[in-house]
Order: sequence, then structure tokens, then C-alpha cells
Amino acid sequence: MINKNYTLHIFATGALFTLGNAIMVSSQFGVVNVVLSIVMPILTILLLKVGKKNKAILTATVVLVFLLAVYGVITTGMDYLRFLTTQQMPKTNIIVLSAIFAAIVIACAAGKTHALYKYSLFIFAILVVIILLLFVGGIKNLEFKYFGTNIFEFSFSAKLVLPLAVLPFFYAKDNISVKPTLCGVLFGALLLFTMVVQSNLTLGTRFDISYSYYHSVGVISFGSLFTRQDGLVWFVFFATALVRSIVCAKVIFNIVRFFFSGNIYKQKPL
Amino acid sequence: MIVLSCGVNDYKNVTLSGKIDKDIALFKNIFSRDAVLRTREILIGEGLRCYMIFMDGMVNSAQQGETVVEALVEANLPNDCEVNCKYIAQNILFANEVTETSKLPDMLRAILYGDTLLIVDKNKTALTINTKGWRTRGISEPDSERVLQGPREGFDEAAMFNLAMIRRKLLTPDLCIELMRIGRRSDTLVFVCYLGSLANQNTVKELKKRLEKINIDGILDSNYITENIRDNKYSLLKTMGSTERPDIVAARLLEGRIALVVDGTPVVLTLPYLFSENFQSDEDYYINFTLASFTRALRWICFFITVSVPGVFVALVTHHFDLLPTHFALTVAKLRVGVPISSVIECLSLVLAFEILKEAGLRMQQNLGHALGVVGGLVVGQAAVEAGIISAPMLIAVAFSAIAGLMVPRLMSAVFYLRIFIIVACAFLGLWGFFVLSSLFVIRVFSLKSFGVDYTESFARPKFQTLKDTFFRAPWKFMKTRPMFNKNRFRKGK
Amino acid sequence: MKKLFVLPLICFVILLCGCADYREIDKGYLVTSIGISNQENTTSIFVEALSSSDVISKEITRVVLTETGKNLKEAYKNLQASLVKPLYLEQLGAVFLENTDITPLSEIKQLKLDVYVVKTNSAKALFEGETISGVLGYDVISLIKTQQKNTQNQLYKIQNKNQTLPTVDFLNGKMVLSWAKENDK
Repeated sequence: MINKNYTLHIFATGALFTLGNAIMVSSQFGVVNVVLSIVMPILTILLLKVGKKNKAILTATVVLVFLLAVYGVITTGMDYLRFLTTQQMPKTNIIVLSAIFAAIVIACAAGKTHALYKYSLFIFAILVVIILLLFVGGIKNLEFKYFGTNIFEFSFSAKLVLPLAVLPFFYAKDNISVKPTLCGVLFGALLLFTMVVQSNLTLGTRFDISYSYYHSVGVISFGSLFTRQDGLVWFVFFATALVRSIVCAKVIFNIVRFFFSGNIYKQKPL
Repeated sequence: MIVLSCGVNDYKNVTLSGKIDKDIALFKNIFSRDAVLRTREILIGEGLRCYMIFMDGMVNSAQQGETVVEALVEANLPNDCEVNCKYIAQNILFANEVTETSKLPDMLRAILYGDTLLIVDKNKTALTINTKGWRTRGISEPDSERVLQGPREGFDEAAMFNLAMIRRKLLTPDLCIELMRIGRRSDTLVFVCYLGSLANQNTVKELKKRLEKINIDGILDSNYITENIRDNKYSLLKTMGSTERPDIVAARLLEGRIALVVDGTPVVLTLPYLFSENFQSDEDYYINFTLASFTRALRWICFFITVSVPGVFVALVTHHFDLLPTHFALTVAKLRVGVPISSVIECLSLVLAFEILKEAGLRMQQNLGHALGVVGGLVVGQAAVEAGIISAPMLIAVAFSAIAGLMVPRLMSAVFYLRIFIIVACAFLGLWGFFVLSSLFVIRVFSLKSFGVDYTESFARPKFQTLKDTFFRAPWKFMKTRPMFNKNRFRKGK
Repeated sequence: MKKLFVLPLICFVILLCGCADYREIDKGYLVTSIGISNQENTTSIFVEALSSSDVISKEITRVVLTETGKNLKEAYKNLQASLVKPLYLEQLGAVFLENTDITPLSEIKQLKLDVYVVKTNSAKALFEGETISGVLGYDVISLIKTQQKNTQNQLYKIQNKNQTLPTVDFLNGKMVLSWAKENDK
């Protein structure tokens, strides 16, 4: 049973998981998919609750979540590495970067859950400050004439929505903590919306890899010293992609352990 | 017959015969190659033979003369009473502490520790009389833990005196002091101290279990014990605290921690140890909470600065010029002209140079230290920049980082290695290397434990009462609870 | 024991990346402005850069580099091939366009979105003329900011939008900034 004291940590992990898609987007979505992103975790929680009594539903849920976790970790990794190799480190070999990122994800996923919880809370506190500071600093660059044309072109892909179903499963083995999970997802979506708004209203274009949040922050300045805040955004992307990948990887490990030990609820204490 | 032994426990099966000539011969045999052992035969009354055995230099001669020799020589033995060790201890000797023992290891320990051993003819037991008189350093303020305001006592090498200093701070019978002896040859006294109503008994048991498992020739310092019993033996971070101040030990005992007082060293160990303790200073609790909070927060910031500034600077000037303000980028480029070594090597060399200066400053004589510090720091640094061997911005970055590192002395070894790793990672991977390494370090810190207690316990439950003594120091009015691992959490009123 | 292998393994993997992105700031040209002149079938590229190559005086010297080609991509490639030091575009401030629009700029991949885009009637005259602060790019940016605080000619503002670009010319030994009335991309 998860200690009640980890409520805030679950909230933070949920928020970071949702923010893990701040890097890029591909095809366009509508508001429907934003709503679906909130519905997906609820659906998984319900299925898990029903699945306790019905093994067929439990198995189906497990298989579905396993596939979504694999999808989540691969797409997050690929998106982040694409950003890394195009914007941050263009000449470094992508295989080496992938190996390092994969090694970190696997090592952290195989490690203790409470360390990940604390890391999420720690990073969440820092990221909220960074995102709000950057938003406040970039207010003078917002041009509301773009509001009508671009604001609903969220361009979130299935990569945002579908892996969200993995989240409740991550907490399921400790105890399904519904409220903090959902609140975390909502807060993460709110922060993501802030980033999208800032990007759209600053750059005046739809949110994608060439005109992402990173670029919108790059054009704002605080006086003559702090002219390019790209480094902060790189950290935002790294931390959120890392947490998202670790959570998906952990779910994969737990499900694999389930198939070997036959009991996903049998796990080491935190 | 010369008996070769490695420790007192080799004689646990040997007993006194009761015949004084044979017994004294036994002791002379055991210490046959020890030129410091002294023996003196005394006749009590009308002819009861006894021998005093002691180590020259370890006993207080005046005290021994008054309480033992004089008492024995002038003793009038009654005719109708059997005179044995018990009688002598109760009726003849003036010493304040006399113990009767039949075990040879205890007798040997007594002699080796500065007591006087009295063996009596026709008795298979002997008396150990407290006549310790070895010299100690005396109470002085520890160099590494100086305070501007507050107590200035410091421990010395005698465990008994150290325990007395702790006892003076905690005038309670709840203070438990358990003795253990560790070291095959050194037989070092190690005292496990804790407050019975506050300390976690499981932690005490676990500690004693680990201490018993230590298999070593000798314990000369508390660090020998630390490296043998700590969790995560290869971790850069300390998981056991250490201090030379009795007030700090008393404060930690009051928080439910356990202290290990080791004979022969002024450094007392405390456990469990939390990460936030690395940023606490001894005088945080002796000065106003506003100033204490500011300096505490400053230490956290300085830790971040000292590990990250050199690496981040290297990353910015070698990978990410776009993050530098334009004029600063031009200044850096201009000042690097003619420097023969690459930025990374320059940075690593400077970090190493500062470590050499720091180490040399510790080892050299004090009257030379100030002068050479000026020479090393200012003249050599200035000359190196003017000669074009290093660039001024890099020197400033590394110097700033080094000075910031002095604010967190308890993390010195971790800071040094972390700084180097981050510089190398930034050289290869730019800022991404910094993100990766710092994230790994943070996750590692969060996963550590110290004797079953989370190393970062405050972050597990981020509430005011758990954070009140981490990033800042709350006023005493709000210090209502002890750390979470304590079984008796309420500091006030209960 | 397993944990002891993890650290050297991580170090080894990090070392494998081979410092591919490692550069020394003083070992290249810090480009401050670029000029593109399109004349019939030839495209000329002018690059103003700051070079820290003077070892004796240890000063930064301003250099103007030019090259031509069939199009911007070729001209840029020819320029890079002719230089002994690489071009660092991270501190690029302004891009001057003569007889061309911003379409060719997509061929320079390292361009930041906050670069100022300015039109000119003679890129050559501009780059060969005297500067106020010593750096043409920063002079023009200061001029734009002084004359009009709400600048609309940064690259991200003019891409895919109708936007008026200012024109800068070097006339009678002086830099003159004007805003054209017709819309231009």
C-alpha cells in the first residue's frame, strides 16, 4: 500500500508525464483529444477495478497498457532524441546519445520507485518556476492578433493522449491513487497549454518541431544579460521526457514481472 | 617461554594459579618484550605478599602512591580474618574504583589501559585499581568546526573524558552508554550512546550487529569504523555523521540519533545521517534564525554553484555559444587568444591547482601558510593569465566555484569528484551532459539510506514540520517535532 | 560488484561520442551579419565576422568575407570551403537582403528565429562602409531599436506572413534606415 505521504509525488509525476510532450507535436488534433487525454486514465482505472473480478478484462487491460507503454517509451525517446540531434547536439552520433538515454531510463526504471517519486517532485517544483518565469518574461512578446487563427491548433499527437492510460497502471501496484493522478494530469495539461499559448502567440505559427516552445523562448530576452533562455527549455524537455520514459519503462518491467511471477501486486517495498 | 599473541582475548582460557611467584612469572612472560612494564612487591601486614603490576607512563604515580602503596604498606591486618582480595578492596585501599576479576583478559586490559593490577598470594582473583594518569590534549576548540557564538569545547582522544562532556550536556539517566571492544590487537573501546526513550532500538541492534562483524587488527580512528559499517560503502556521500563537538553530539542524541565514541580519536560518529545535515552548521542554532536561514540557504546555493559552474562554463564556451550574451562571448574569445591548452584541460588543470593549494595550505606550517596563500592564489594566478597559460574568465569561474565549495566542508570529497565528472561530461556532451549527470546524482541521492532511514527523508514528506530545518532554520517556537525516524516525535510538551 | 561496472560503462559510452560538437570559441569566425545579393544568375554572400586571430595584440578583428555561387547554398558552401576557420553563426544579429526575399534563408540551417532581416539596395556598400561601433550587424539592430521600438522584422515574424521590412543603405558615409510602404516578404 502506498504511503499517503506520496500524494504530492504522484501528482508531480502525473504532471511531468503529461508535460513530456512539450517537445514536439506532429499531426493536428482538436479539443476532443485533450478531453480524451483526461478520460484515458479514468478508463484504465475503471478497467483495473473491474479487472480485479474479471480475469479476461484484466488480461486485456494489461496487454493494452503494455502496448501503450512500449509505444510511449519509444515515441518519447524518439521525439526527444530528434530534438536533441537537430537543435542541441547536431554533430554527435545519434546512436551514442540513444544509448546513453536508454541506459539512464533503464537504470532508473529498474531502481527504486520512491527515488523516482522524489525526483519527480523535485524536478516538478523547479519546472513550474521555470515555465512560469518564462511565461511572465515573454508576456511582452505575445501578440494576440494570432489568437483567433492558431490557438486551437494544438497539434498534439496520439503520443500525448494514448500513453496517459499507462499512468494509473504505474500506481496500480502500490494503490490506485486516482485523485492525485488526475489532478497531476490536469495540472500538467494546464502547464502544457501555457507553453502552447506562449509559443503560438509569440511565434504566430502552429506548434511543431520547427516552431516549438523552445524557439518561442529563444526569442525573448530579460535585459542584455539574459538574452537566450534556451538552456532552461532544454532542461524542461530533458526532465519531462526522462520521467515519461521511466514511467513507461517501469510499467513494462512490472508487466513482464507479472507474467513471470503471476502477481503484479507482489512487489518490493518502496 | 615467550608467548606470541595478537590480542588479550588469546588468554581467555588462562587463569591465575593462586601462587604468587607463578602468577608474577606469567605476567612477566606475557610482557617479556615490553620494557615499560613495572612490578612492585608489597608485604601487607605481617607477610601477605602481593604484587603491583602497571605500565610506566600510563599511571598517575602520585595517586598510585597515595591510594595503593601507602594504603597497603600501612595496613594493619586483623588476626581473625581471612585477608583476600575482597577484604583488601573494601578495607585497605583508598582508591575510588576497585574491581575484582578472575579473567586474565580483563587483567591485561586493566594494565594496558593505565590501571594498576594487584595480585595477592593465595588468591586466584586480582584487583584492578583505577590509577589512570596518561596525558591528554585537553579541551580545545576543534579547528574544523569553529563558531563565532556558542560553546567552544571540543573532544580529545580520551573516550572517558569525551563521555563526561556529553554527560554534562544531558543530565538524564536516560542516556545509555554501551561498551564494545573492536580490533584484534588494539582492543579499542567503542561506546554506543543513545537516549533510551528516543533512539530506535532496531537501529541500535543493527549498529551493534555491524560493529561485531568488524574484523580488523586495530581501530585508530573513527573512520576505520565508518568505512566498515556504513551503507553504500562506495558512495561519495557521507551516510554517517561526524563531529568533534559535544554540543552537537548532545543535539543529535536529543533528535533520537545514536553516537559512537571511539577511544583514541576526538571524532565522534552519529547516525542515522541525512543529506540535509551536510548543509547545517554548528552555530545555526546559536544565532538568530533569520541569519541562520540565510546562511543555510546560501550553503545550498553554494553547493549547486560549486559543482556546476566550471562544467556549465565549459559547456557554454565549447558547445553553446548562442547562450552567451554577445559581448561576453566576444570578451571570452578575445581573452582566450594565445592560450595553448583547450578549455577543458584548462578547467581541469585549474581545479587541480586549487585542490593542490588547498591541500598544501592544510599541511604547511601556519606561519608560512598565509604568505604562501597569497603567493599561490594571487601571484601565480595573475602571472599565469598574463603569460597566456590560462584565460581570466576560466580562472574566475573555477576560483568562484572553489570558494563556494568552502561553504560546504562536509561535502568536500563528493564535490571534488562531482565537479570533475561534470566538467568531463560537459566537455563531451555540452549542457546535456550536465543535465544527465546532475539528474543521475539527484536520483542517486534520493535512493540512499542511512541505517534504514531515507537519506533524503525531508523530501519524502514535504511539509513544514519536515522541512523546517532543511533549506532554512525555523524559529525554535516552530521546532515542535523531531526527525521522522524518531519514535518519540514531539519535542515539546510530551 | 555489478554496480562497480556501471560507472566505467557509463563513462565509456560518454567517451564514445567523441566530442563531436566540441569547439573552441576563439578558433572560428563569430559571424555577426550576413548579406545576400542576388544579381541575375549569381548570388553573392557577404559575411561580417569577428576573428580572434591576432595573437600579438589579442584583439578581436572585424573581417568581411565574400563569395559567389549560382545560388545561396552554393555560395555559402564555397565560402566555407575557402576559409581556414569555421563560421559560428550563434551570434548572428542581422541578415541583409538585396534583390531577394527570405526564401533562400532556409538553406542556412543554423539561423536563429530572432535574427533581424533587413533589405538593402547595396549589400556590398553596406559591408564595405564604415561602422559606428565597429560591427555592422549590431549597428543596424541598434538603429532599428532606436527608431522603432516594436520591431517586426525578426525572422519568425516575417516567415509565412506579409510583413514590411526596413531598408538600410550606406549613403554619404552614413547608415540610413527607411521603411518601405509596399508590402514585401
